[in-house]
Amino acid sequence: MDFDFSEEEHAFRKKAGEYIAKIAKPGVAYKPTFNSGYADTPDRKQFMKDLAKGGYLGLSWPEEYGGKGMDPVYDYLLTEELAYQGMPGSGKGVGIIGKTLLRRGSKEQQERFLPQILNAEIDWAIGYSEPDAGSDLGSLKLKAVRDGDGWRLNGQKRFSSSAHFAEWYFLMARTHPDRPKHKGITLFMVEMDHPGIQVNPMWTIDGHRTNEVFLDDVWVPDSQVVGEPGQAFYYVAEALDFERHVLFPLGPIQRLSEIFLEWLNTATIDGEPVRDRPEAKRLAGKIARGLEVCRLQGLSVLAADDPKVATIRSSMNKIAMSEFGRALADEALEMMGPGAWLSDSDPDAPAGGLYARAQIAVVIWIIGAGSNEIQRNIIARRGLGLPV
Amino acid sequence: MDLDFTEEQKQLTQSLRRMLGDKCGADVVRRMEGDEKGYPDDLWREVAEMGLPGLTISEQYGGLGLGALEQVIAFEELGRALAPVPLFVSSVLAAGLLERAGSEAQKGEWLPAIASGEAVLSIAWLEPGNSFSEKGVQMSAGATGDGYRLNGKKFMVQFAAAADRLIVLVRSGPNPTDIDLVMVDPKAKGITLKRHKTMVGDAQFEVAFDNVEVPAADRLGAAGEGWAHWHHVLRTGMIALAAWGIGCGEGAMTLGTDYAKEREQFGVPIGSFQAIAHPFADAATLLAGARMITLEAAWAKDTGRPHTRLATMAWLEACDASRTATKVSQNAFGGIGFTRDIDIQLYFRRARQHELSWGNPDALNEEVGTEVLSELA
Ligand SMILES: Cc1cc2nc3c(=O)[nH]c(=O)nc-3n(C[C@H](O)[C@H](O)[C@H](O)COP(=O)(O)OP(=O)(O)OC[C@H]3O[C@@H](n4cnc5c(N)ncnc54)[C@H](O)[C@@H]3O)c2cc1C
Repeated sequence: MDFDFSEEEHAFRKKAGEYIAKIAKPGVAYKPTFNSGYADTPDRKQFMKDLAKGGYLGLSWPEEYGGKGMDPVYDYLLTEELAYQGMPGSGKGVGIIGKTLLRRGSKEQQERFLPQILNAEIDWAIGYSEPDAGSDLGSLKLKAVRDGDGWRLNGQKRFSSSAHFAEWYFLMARTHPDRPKHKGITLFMVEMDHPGIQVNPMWTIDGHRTNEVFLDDVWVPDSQVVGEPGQAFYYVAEALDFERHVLFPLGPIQRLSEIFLEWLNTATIDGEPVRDRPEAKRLAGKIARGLEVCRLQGLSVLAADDPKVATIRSSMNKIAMSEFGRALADEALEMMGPGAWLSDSDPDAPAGGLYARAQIAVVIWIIGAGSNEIQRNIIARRGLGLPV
Repeated sequence: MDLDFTEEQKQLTQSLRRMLGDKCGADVVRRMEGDEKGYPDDLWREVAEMGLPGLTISEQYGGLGLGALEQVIAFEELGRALAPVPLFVSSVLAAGLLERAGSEAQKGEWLPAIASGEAVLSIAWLEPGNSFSEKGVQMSAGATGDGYRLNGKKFMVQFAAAADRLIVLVRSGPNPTDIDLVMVDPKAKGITLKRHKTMVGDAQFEVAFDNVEVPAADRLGAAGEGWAHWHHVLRTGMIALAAWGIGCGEGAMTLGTDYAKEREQFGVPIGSFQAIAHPFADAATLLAGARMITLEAAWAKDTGRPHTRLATMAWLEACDASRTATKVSQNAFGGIGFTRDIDIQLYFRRARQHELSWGNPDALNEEVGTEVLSELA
């Protein structure tokens, strides 16, 4: 057993960290309350391109596809470093979509898309959720009807983050309404600038944009269907099994914890150092412990070789991280006293107002990428064998 | 990074689980509740035959010289079986103090006997009305010319009736840390034992000292260093305590989830209700996290890294996890779980007592936090 990374791995993270700090223009880094986000401004797009230029994308892709054939631990380290510095994550393109194409895409699709992903030339939106299909993704309705050498798509998606700037849309639609619901869904890649696609903003309470997307007679050729029609649900689950650690990096809560500990250590209330209070010391102890446990939960996802174990571990990781984030935000705000409710745009906010924002951001950590209730179902069912 | 056990470590788990499955069923656990000695000789012999009392004692003193990771394996299995054995007080605390503070003569006399399981030592630390902190050690060690004269009371002394020696924490002066460690035979003149009735019926005693003479040669380590040694050994020992709590929680989860799959109400297994299943999932998550940090603390110790803070955190985390796991499992049994015949209550009561026994969570969190903040300053 060895809980440490190797010397090469440490050196890699250090080098990546220096490179990231060097190429990021001011404003590219988000505040650490966000789960890294994706490239949505010209500067952030440029950042991703520079990251690609530095050779940091596709680390664990096979060499024949332009990757580096490195151990997935390097993806983990890069994701953590990006998240820690508040940079856009790379996991959607090279992780979820790229790896799906590597496993399931046609030769032609691989030749067309993989280089563009590796060079960060394109951004993707993921269109799984719909107004009536959230946790129960398998019930999605967006209709795809056979039409010539392709499919005609009609319907509505919701929460398609990045859809307002992405070039490509990775979406699931129902192609076989006669089959059992999980077996009638197909994965498509669609140009976002298709005239039949309309993107409307949905503004989030943490100041971000996600989107509602309407598809009106959008014809997609067979060459843009991923894998076998009807198999999408399986592909999506498979991609998540392998890429779950990229969805919940420790970086944001690590930064939040560090900033709060710094505040505890230096702030005064009523002219007295907060750090002298027993409850402040207790809280510092709980934060240090909670953070370390979250870090280890993440490592166990990474270390799980068996995909079944990885699934359970990543559900545990997601619950542990998001619940710790919530507890941390609640306790920190209570400790701060008057002014705790100042937002992060107010220069007088304690600890930069990060916590006022974090307590809002944690709502989506708990709901997003499969809500914690859904994760509990997974753990209970697959981990404990309960018939829930 | 490598989070796998070695083949030998996996075998240790398997053979221990097999032995405890054979020799330490719930009947044994039940039989020991209220037993004067508190552990069955035959089980202790089996445990000794597998080398557990000497697991981490150095080979030079007849132990196996293995590390904290193996200790975690052992205590996790003992916790899963709720094995009533004096392993923690004797082989972790007493042996730990001897290895750290003992003279060559003291080590030579006691460590081989502890390692073979022939001798059992225990610790007399806590006192009626006093806390877990150094302030709680008030029993005075009146200095005689060449030794001590002990007067006062200790309580919560485990296995005192069966112990060959007690290591007693005594106050030698007014400063908070003026504390010495002395070895006393519990059968010595002037000592009376009174059995407590604990919530798990284990063998804990009040030990009253009436002018008990102890020669200076029976002190462990230098005068005034007792608390530092004790604090270090107990913090390191928290790795084993955490592992025991996790094993106890896992054992309870097995009973609880098995029952939730069988028991039907409203025409379906109760495990199909999320109000039953989700708390199990949360408990499993807590146990998994606690297990990781416990293993990390053990690894840190075995590789010579600083480990006492990790060990304390592991213990706190394991307490949360085992409390949650046993509570949730107890709850799944409904009314039948409230009856004595059902084994889940054995776990439920033990997890709670275990968690309360070795330190106050507020104080321990504070201790960790103080260290964390001082590193920022
Ligand atoms: C900011 C943001 C960005 C997003 N980005 C994307 C994206 O890019 N692409 C995409 O496809 N989706 C995206 N999502 C959608 C997200 O994945 C869904 O919101 C999430 O899966 C939950 O679905 P829902 O909102 O429909 O809630 P519902 O499924 O309606 O759930 C409502 C509540 O019911 C609970 N619940 C539901 N089912 C069960 C059950 N079986 N047992 C117990 N409780 C249950 C849930 O836990 C939740 O608390 C995004 C969402 C947000 C808010």
